[in-house]
Amino acid sequence: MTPSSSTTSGREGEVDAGGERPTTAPRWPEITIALTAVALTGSVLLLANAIELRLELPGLTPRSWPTFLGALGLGLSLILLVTALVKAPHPNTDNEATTRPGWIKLLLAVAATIAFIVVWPLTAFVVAAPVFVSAVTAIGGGRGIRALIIYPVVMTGALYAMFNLLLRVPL
Amino acid sequence: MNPLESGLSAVLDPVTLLCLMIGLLVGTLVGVFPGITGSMAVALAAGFTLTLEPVQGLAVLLSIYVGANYGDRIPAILVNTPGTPAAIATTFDGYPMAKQGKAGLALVVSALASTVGILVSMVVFIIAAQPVAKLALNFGPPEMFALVVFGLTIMISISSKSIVKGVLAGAVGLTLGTIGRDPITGDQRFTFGLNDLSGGLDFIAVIIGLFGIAELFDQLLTHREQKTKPISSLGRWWPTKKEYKEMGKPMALSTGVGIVVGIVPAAGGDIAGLIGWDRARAVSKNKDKFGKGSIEGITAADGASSATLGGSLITTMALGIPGDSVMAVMIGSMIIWGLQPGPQLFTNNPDLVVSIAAIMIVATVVSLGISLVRMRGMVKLMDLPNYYIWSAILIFCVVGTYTVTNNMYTVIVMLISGVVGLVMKRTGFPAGPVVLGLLLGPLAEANLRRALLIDGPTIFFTQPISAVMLALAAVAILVPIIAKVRAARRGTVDPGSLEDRLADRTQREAAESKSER
Repeated sequence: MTPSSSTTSGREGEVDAGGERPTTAPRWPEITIALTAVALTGSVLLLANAIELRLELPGLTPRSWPTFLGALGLGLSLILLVTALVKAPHPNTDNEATTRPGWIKLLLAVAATIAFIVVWPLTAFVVAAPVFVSAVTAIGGGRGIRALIIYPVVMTGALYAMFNLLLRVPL
Repeated sequence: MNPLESGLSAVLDPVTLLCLMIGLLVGTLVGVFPGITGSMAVALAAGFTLTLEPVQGLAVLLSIYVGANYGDRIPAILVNTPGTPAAIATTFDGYPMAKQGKAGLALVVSALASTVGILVSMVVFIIAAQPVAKLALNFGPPEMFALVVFGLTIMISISSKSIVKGVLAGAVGLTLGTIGRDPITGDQRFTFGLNDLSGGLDFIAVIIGLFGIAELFDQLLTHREQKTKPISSLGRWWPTKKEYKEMGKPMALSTGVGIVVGIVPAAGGDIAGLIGWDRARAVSKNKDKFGKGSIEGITAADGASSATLGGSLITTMALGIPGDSVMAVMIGSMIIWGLQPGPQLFTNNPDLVVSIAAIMIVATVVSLGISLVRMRGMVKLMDLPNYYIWSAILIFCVVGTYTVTNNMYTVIVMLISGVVGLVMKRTGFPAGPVVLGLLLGPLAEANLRRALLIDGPTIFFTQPISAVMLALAAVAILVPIIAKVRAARRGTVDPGSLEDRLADRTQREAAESKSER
């Protein structure tokens, strides 16, 4: 019985042949994450200090809470950075390994979504949506008339009917 | 009409019942497809239900919650892959039973355990929610602030392997909650002169991005062809008298575990299922059968994870603190409908509370009926190619988000949240605290400022309830840190999550028993 192999996080393949988990991992990803966090939280702190106040009220000002959060975030990011520099990193066992085709699929899906967001207001939902659904289906590996034409048209029709007719939300 | 009659008649309205059936269907389908979580589905549906009446909308959202809870057991038992994280523990005994030709029996035991778990937890909700809400009515600003901090710290401590990353994610969520106008003075904060940002980030767009788009992008990024074929030989269905008896003890124990875990903010069915399964094994006379197709094991796992539903409803409706990520989404929708979950809900909308309980109970009973019908159709559905599901989810995310404000800006927020969510997922930052921070941030800030105006910082420690909750919050953060430090001193490996600990222990025991043989 191997409960670990049954999770969606996909632990299969992460355990080596001897049944032991690998104990070392590259240091740079955690350092990069920590540096990014330092930059972002530092920016929050600076921006929070720059909030313009219209009224001076007693107690905390609108600037105080964001400043506290920025400072807290920066402090935590620095701890993250020190930990990344000092402590030997453990391999990340929460994520399945990515694949090159996976990256291509992801980038194409993001590009298709951005294109849909741009094209939809310029045309109409019933024009842009089937093309978008067809594109995403193709990116996912769908082929043939049923996947690339019939399904996108049916999906668009169903969405249009649900919103325009049933929920009375114009698309 | 009194609140009881009014609440029940709202649920028995044909449109509400239709909404409930649609929600159950969607929820069951969501559960069947691994990778689509209940929170993702409820987040998506939230965009569609905003134009409905609150009771109708709640019928859709709550029945998705219940339906997903039943649907996710099917792939857990037949393919060894949980449909949602709540069914992780179901795989421990469900799949071994299916491999022994007892898939039908496993499905029925799972459905019965889930039903008892939800119904008992709903009884507890009905009995306990109002007294808890009455107690919470006495909460002033310091207590409310302490409650928010407590809720956040619990979520941080259970949802992340790294406490620092968890707290940082919570701080990011709280910071996102400050975008827009200041709640007291109306000053613009982090709006960069953009009108769209002055109303703050749209909550639904952010959660659809973090839970829906991020999950979908991660699936695209890591997709491999599924090698495991569903087990289609289902065998016998109904338990024998002896098997019914076997279910009793783990059922009682796990339901209690599930309700308690459900009440803890942010601890969901996945954690409850694992604890319930582990505790049932600890007290069982047949420990060695656990993990090899034990009826006690599957009963405990599903009873515990299902009982969290009522527990998390108590926290959500009585205190206004989301019991789990699905409830976080639910709160967001309720706020848009003009309803504020929390103690006031029980005085302002008692009929709605009755409706919520009735929807949950009706949805549970109908789900049991659906689950007991032979599920060959569901098995076939699991063979549906992923590209249909991906494209459907993506267009539902875009259209669902657009309908919230009829503004493309909201869709852009959703897409950015999706990409950020993916980066967070891949780098070990939990999304839960971000959502909770965004949701509770304004509440925390407003109450902090009010409390400080009343009596300065000492008020948090002189008021007993706030002092206790802040102390518990500190314990929730410090205990995992201390455990890690102690483990490091002893030279043992970081125990990681509960799931990892259970998995490691079970693997170790399996290896030991193998070597003994």
